[in-house]
Amino acid sequence: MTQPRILVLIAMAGIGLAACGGGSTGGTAANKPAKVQIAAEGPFTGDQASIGAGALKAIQLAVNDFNKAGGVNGTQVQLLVWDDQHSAQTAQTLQAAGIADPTVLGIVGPMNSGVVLGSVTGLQSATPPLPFVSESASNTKVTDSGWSVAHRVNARDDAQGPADAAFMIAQGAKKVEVMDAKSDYSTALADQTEAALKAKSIPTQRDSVKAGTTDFSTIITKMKSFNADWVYFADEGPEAAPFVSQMKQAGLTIGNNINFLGTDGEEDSSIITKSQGAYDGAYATNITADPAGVSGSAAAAYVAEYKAAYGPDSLSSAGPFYGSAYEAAQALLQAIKNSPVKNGKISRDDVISHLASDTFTTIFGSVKFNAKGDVSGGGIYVYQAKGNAMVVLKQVSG
Amino acid sequence: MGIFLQQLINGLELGSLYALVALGYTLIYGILEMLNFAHGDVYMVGAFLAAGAAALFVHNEVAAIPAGLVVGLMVVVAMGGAGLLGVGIERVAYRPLRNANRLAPLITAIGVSLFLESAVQVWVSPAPVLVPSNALVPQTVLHLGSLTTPLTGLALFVIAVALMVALDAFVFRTRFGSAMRATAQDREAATFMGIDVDRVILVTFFVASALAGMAGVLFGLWHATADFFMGYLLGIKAFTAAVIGGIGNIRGAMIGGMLLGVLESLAGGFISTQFQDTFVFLALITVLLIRPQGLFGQPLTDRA
Amino acid sequence: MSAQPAPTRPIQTTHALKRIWESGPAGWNQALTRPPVLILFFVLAAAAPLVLQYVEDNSSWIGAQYWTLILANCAMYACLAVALNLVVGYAGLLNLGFIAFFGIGSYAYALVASDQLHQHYPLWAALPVVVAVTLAFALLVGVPALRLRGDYLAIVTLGFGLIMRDLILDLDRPPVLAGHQFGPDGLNLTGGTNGIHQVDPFKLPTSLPLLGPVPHFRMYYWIFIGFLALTVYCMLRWRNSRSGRAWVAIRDDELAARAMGVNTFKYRLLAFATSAVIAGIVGMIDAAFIFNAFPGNFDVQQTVMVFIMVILGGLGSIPGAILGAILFTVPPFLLQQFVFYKYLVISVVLIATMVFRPEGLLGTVSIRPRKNLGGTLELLTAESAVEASELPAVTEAEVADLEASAGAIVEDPEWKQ
Repeated sequence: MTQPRILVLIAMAGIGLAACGGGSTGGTAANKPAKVQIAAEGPFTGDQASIGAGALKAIQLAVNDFNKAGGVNGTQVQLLVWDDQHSAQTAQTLQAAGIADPTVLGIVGPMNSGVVLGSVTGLQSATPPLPFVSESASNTKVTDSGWSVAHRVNARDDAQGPADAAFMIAQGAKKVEVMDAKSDYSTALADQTEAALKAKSIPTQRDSVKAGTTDFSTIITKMKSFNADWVYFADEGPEAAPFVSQMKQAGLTIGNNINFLGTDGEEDSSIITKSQGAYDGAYATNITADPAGVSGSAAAAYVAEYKAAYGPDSLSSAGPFYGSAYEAAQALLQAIKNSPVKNGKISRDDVISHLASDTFTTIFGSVKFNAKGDVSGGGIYVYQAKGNAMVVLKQVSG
Repeated sequence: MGIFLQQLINGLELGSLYALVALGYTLIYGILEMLNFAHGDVYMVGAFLAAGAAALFVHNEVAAIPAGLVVGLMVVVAMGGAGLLGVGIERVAYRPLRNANRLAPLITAIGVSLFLESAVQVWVSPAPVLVPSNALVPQTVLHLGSLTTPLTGLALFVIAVALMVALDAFVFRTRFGSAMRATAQDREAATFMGIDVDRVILVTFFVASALAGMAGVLFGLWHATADFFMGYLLGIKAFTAAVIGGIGNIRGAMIGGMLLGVLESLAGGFISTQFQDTFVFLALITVLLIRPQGLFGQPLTDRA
Repeated sequence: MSAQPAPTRPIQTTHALKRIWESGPAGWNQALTRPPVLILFFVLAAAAPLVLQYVEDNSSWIGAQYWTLILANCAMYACLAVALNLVVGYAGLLNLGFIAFFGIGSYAYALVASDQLHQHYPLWAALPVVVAVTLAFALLVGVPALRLRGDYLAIVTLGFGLIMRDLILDLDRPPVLAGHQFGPDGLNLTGGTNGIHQVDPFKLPTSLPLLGPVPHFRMYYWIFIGFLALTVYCMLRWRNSRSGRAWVAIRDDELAARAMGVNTFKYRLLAFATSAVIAGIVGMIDAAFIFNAFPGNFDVQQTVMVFIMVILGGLGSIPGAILGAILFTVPPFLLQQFVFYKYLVISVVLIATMVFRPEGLLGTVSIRPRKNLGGTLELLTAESAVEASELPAVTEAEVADLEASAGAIVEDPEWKQ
């Protein structure tokens, strides 16, 4: 077997890379942990790269910023990248590297609810359990099952779905076309919203698009014959611009003879330019705040930093979760920093208890997890596309 | 009835896109008997080239030079670029394997497909990019009673049909076309007849890929977007269309593409969008079970 | 080409090694499939996690579990690759819906061993269910599709794979077709996009004699390795049996095989169904191993991956399939930190490998190169046959001759089935 030699090589490469990570900034030797690692997990390549790639860049930025500010008492945090490609199988294998290594103190991610549900048992049963802070897993089961490792900074489907339905009803919706994109995030959310609409006797029509779909004329024709006055599209984002452009071509103008409510990925000002203005007037709710639409110097500074690091146009491909990914990384890193250092080590048990008890300062202000691992008071933000920006209309609660 | 006709129109427009890409599958299959798995991604690259060419001259939805010129440039860049890409792929990944077993080029084709998708994702954009169609082509919507279609959709259909007719004429009426057919029929014999087989194959790849590039331009002007993943599903569907029509048969690919588009549109419109593809592939399987050589194909000898 | 395969095996003298190295792929395969070599390989493979554990216990290196899981992935893909090799390498059938059977096995087990339908079958009861379900699907697709050949079979099986994926994603609710709902409200078969979770693992002893307590991941690694050994054993036995010779005959020249009285349909179906059932059982083990059945694991891309393993390793070669599985499973894990570039690197390596070694690393089979036949005949339709005037050297006689020969095949009533 040649494995051991490969292992040694890999280990050496890993150490080499880690050494390049940055110099130490000093700190007292007594409470300086020997090594601190966290992992970023999500679908960074493949068909869901449009949501994963931006989140990973945000996490890398968060770790760099944290290290520049001194790291954990002078120890630089090393970031492991786990590209699970939204497969629970790959996720379990990747997580095993962290489960076995006590210096891996937490995960930012996984991003897909299905991946969380498919791998959380392993994280919970590890000794000590390996905590995670997800930036986008919205399925209710993620935090409802009593796992102490589970945390998320985004709002839940059962908060967003009914809130979205209530918003449309308040705006006078009579007939709603409900669409999903056949992903674990979007189907569950569309289900919640459709159920909430039906509970108020609003007629709905349900349609699905596959990832990679670029022609929506069939659905738009169905929508027109259904006489929908609202379209609700639960989506991570890539389909929105072509979809609304085609609606306009088919004579459905947003704000004129139809209204549009999108979610998360569709709260993205680049859709306005990419749809050549067809998106103007559309609403979108987001389970996480968009730093570009939030007032406050921390969020604005982060947006400037992201653009400086990845290019002036980088926000248009940052995906919906580049803000929450940074926020989740901040929470996890602060919990690690607050944990006691014993003999140069930080225990994951302590990280979990600090995640539960502490209040974290993030780009969106103070954040605290409740007993389940959800963000207390986590709100849903309603945005509207106006001019060339997404403008916050209000924050609604679930 | 109105809705049925509207879905039919939707299907024909989508189908002409499938048909243009299917032509490439069928041409390459006809000459080399290989499934060019990367062909859908050549279409994707064509759309990105068109988007890039347009981005050079269009800022804030205003074209810096006459719109017609920009569109012309997009066509040249996308068709030329995609064509050269096709030729490059053939040269690097397929030619060395021409006499290897049939599955080896299939694997390199998958490798090329993976490479193109990753390269565009990493070096261009993981998110969809804009093709500024508003500034370039009139956004007129045509009405006929309750039926509507954007002018660009109609143009897609008309140009696609024209290109298919032109290709058909090229293959069946020109001297080079007969060299192509001779190569398809018997490569070795064609060599003896003095046909430069390598050149025929290169030109075939160029033409097939340029058609995919043109499909990318037409799609960009129709739906104003390009995305690194757009070639994957479309490639599978276009290949399916080529098979339905009888692979290797040019007219079959055209009709197969249209048929698939219409079928998809009607299945989505009247049965269920969730199970749209299920019905499309069930139809495919049914066609092949009844007519194993495809609708217009001639019975084949074994090729396993 | 590296000399890797030969030197790692216990051959007595350098002279013998040199001879094997020079014997080319056929010789390597023969050497690698000799019983002592295979036994040694499986013993080493089975010992690997213990070695990893020993290294972990006696050094500061941590990663025994991680690497055992990666090896378990390798072993799982090796089982799939060997099964796919049966249908592609032995029988020459391009089954692009292969991974669907893996998915069907996973979901069949998950349905009878989880809270999804509130059934908790033990292994001995679940296994026949899984085998029966995958077999039923294999026959459903295989009986009609195997009458097609070549690329037509490929596209029908690809369509089947896509249909199965749609069904897995959408059968978390009763289907609504043309406004009518089929099935009762609340019917949830597959768990939709989230998959089925909390699937029962097999009820196995948690400790073994001599070895003491055995953690879950190591136990399933051994199950995969054991199943792989069993599969390889059957394949090698089978290869030299009547069926094996029939498959090779069909693959190499179907017409000749028919002429010799081989019932090609029967043997194709046998290969197709057997490989499907093996994939189904692997799917079942995997569902118990990772505690869930998850739609992301059964993408068409996964079929492509297993195909790459088989062809990279060498069509028709069992050691090749195993080598291919290792070579294509490990690098994505090694390259994790280069996230965006990893598939760029892998795709370039893949293309280069195939260009320089088209028969695969250990391949012996070269499925008939079609030097002489060129492509299909259809660019040449009857009414527009190449005119003699255009290409003076082609005589009418030659065209007629070719058409006649094609026609002769076509008109064979047996051929049309």
